[in-house]
Amino acid sequence: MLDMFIYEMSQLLDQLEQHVVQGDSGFSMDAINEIFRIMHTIKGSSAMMMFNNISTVAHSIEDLFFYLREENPSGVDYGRLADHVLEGMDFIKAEISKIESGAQPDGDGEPLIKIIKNFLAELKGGGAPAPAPKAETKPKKAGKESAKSANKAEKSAAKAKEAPRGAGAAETVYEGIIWFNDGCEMENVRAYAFVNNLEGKAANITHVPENLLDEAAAEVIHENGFWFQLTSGLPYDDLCKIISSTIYLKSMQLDAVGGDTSKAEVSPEVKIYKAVLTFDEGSEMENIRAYNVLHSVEGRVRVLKHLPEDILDEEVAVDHIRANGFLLVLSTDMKYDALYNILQEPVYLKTLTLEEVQSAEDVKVTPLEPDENDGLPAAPVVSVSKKKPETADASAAPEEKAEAAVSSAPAAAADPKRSPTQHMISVNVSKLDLLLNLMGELVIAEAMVTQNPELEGLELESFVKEARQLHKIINDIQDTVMSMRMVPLQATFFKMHRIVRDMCRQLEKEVDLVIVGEDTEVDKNIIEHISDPIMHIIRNSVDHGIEMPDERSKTGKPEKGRVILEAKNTGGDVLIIVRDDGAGLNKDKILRKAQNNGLLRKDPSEYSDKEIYQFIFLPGFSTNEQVTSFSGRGVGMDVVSTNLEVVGGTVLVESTPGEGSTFTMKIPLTLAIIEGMTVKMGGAKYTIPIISMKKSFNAKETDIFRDPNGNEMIMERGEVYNVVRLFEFFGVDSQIRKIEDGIMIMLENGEQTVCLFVDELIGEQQVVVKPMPKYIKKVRGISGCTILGNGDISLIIDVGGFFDK
Amino acid sequence: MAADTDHLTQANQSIEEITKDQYLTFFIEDEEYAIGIAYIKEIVNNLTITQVPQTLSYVAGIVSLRGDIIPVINVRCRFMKADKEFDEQTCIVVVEYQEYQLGLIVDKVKEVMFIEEGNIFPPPNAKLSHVNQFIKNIGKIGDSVKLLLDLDRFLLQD
Repeated sequence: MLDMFIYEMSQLLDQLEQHVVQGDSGFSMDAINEIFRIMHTIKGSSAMMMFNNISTVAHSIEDLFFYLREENPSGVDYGRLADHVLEGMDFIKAEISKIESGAQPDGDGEPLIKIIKNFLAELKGGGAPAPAPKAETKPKKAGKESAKSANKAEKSAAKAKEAPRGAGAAETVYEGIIWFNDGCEMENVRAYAFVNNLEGKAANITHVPENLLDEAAAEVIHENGFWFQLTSGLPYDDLCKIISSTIYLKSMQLDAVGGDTSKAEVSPEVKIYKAVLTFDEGSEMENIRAYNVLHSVEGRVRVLKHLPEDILDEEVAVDHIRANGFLLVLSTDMKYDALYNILQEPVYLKTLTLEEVQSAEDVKVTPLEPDENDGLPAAPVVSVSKKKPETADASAAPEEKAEAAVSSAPAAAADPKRSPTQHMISVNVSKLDLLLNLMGELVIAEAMVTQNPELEGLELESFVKEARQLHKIINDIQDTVMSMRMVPLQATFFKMHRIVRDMCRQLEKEVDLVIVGEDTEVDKNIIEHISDPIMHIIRNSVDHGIEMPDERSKTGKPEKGRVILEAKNTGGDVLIIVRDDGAGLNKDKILRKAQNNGLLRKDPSEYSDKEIYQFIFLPGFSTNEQVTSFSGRGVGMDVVSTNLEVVGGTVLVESTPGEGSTFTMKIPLTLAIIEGMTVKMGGAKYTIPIISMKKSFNAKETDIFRDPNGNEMIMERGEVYNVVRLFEFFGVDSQIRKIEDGIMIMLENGEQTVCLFVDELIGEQQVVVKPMPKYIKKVRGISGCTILGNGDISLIIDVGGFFDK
Repeated sequence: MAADTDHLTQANQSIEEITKDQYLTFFIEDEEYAIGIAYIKEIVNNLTITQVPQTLSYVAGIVSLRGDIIPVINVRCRFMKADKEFDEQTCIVVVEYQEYQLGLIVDKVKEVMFIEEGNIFPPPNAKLSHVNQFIKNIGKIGDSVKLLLDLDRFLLQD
């Protein structure tokens, strides 16, 4: 999952870069839409992977482009705009490379977000030049700031190392209030950055207001200041310096309230907890899940230790967690319930036991099998790296050091040789395409050698034997090459659990996501294009489709909504279906909105349901009045149609008011490999997907009868079928026109059946589907073409094309 | 990175310089036409053309060129001239124009020649026939004239 994320990100960033660089002198509307979409996706994916710094930066850029897209303001300084976007991109890139090398993405995006927000404010303010210089000086300032703090961090790290020797270095409890400049905005975020800044230099940080991510906190801080309490081994002066380096600081107050010994009294509510988490069987990548747990509690608790220690070591950690669960020892002033709630968040969590312990040492662990359930370790106690705060002066300093070690564990513990990308390499799909082409040539070349006319009539016993071996190897290679491109939908589908879950929490809805047919394999190219559409449709279903629990119970539905995500193969197509039992689409609302946007081309009453539903896929179309973090901006469904267009897929919406909606994405077999029956008609060859073929049979001209419209029909085994003569359908010449001379093939597409008349059957073989060149417009009845073993081209029949829509 | 780009632009420039003023000429009936050599990818013959039903009349079909599927245009049809049996001089000129790769069936390929800018003249301004709307300019070499194709109209307009 992590490498998928990294790969996806790097691709998106590459795309983004192209658009931005091209847009230096002015962005086209398309480019703005595209950048907006990319940022939207980056925001979504990184939030899902809990890389919040990335997602907030992406969010601010998205906001900026949202404004550009909606308002299309004039006089925008595109050069600066591009600069800001590129800065944001570089930030994200840097974070991604940190993730890639197994480190924590800990960059601070705040200064950048501030710059972008200012820029946006400036745009909104009619491009008033006044704030510009201010905005421009900021990056420098921010740069200095980070350099400074980095410097400080080093210093303090050095101090921490020295500390054990200096017996006098003791931890002190400080209490203080800081005030920010009036009008600096987003006090909560600043306070958050401030707290982050102190991490590693101070411990046990508590503050009021508690939840800094809530925007209401900004107001509180503005009114009352930001109150905090912390313990630190740093001298008062140093701490003052660190605090005073905060951006936009107006005034500060810092008091030492007590020495190390009083610590226990100062924060009596700090307790030590032991938690054991186990994950569902088959949830895979337990180590990453554990990592996410660590990440989710970060900042709120002090992680004293965890087992397995090296959770990024895939093999060891996964086995360990599967066998023993993930053990976490932490200290926090949070209430038991609050902590429990946080810890039970992870997806696939099976069990969670959380208990309070007297001290970290109480958690006795045997190095190899910490048998948490009976709490009776067989082996002697392993000393825990962190000691309780009550310890005396002398041991307080080493404690500092130990803490630093623990807090950096996730990053440091990662063996540099074991980066998460180790087991996978990403290969450019064009290389796979090339490989596939060469494979085809190889097969042809093989036939040319082994069936060479010069060999005819010769007794070649060993040659034939070797040739057979060669043939076998070539077949194996062919299978491998083809399988390389096929990827099950599993990973894509399972990503959706998380999305549904997060949305449910935020929207206070209850939704069950049911996944069916996740082992359906799809060409790699296609998977890349459909994962976003699936995500957006699911979001749409949860956000718009499923109603609030109380509303549901009023209408007699179960409180828990249900979204079914299903994949299946039909007739050579892959169908991906998202079905919800929500309220269904509101046709009137969609029509009204379409009318307001001037999208209607005929009288509203003339629109069919299908046409109405298609409106929701237009860019910028949303019936949600309010922009939420999930939807309302009208990007999502736009992504669905654009992405599907790329792979030549379609999306179909069905909806019953009050009962729910069904989104069916039909992905054509482009680039997929199909089992095909090659037939001859006229001078050309055609390939019919075997999966739609029911049977072939001979018939006579006299078996045919016609209805008044001239439609031909045939009776076969007591049932009547329509007959399509392929040469007539395509309007090409063929020598064989009489039914007796050719052959009938019965084809099936879903519920419908038709009999196709062709000249003759040639044979069955696996073919690689290639799209028709773009230059040739869509031909009804043909879905693509393929190159046969002898180098000839065969056109692939689209069975659906024979039926009326 | 910057150095790379420079290098690339330089390479592009030199390609442009080399191909500038150079044209590939070919025959349709008795007329000699020319296409800027920068658009020409290769010239092939003896490829089996697979017909595609229900396409524009001048689309002869598709061919497989080392695994790539390329549509082929029958230039005679495009010019509304009578079709002609393939002979040993008939070739397919593969051109790359915008995002398309296309084959052009021509009667005979003649040569690659220089036509200097000074010898290129605009076509007559009266649009009399269907064909001359595809002619961008007239190139003059000695006594003979070549018709320079307007690829945009020729390939992309219905």
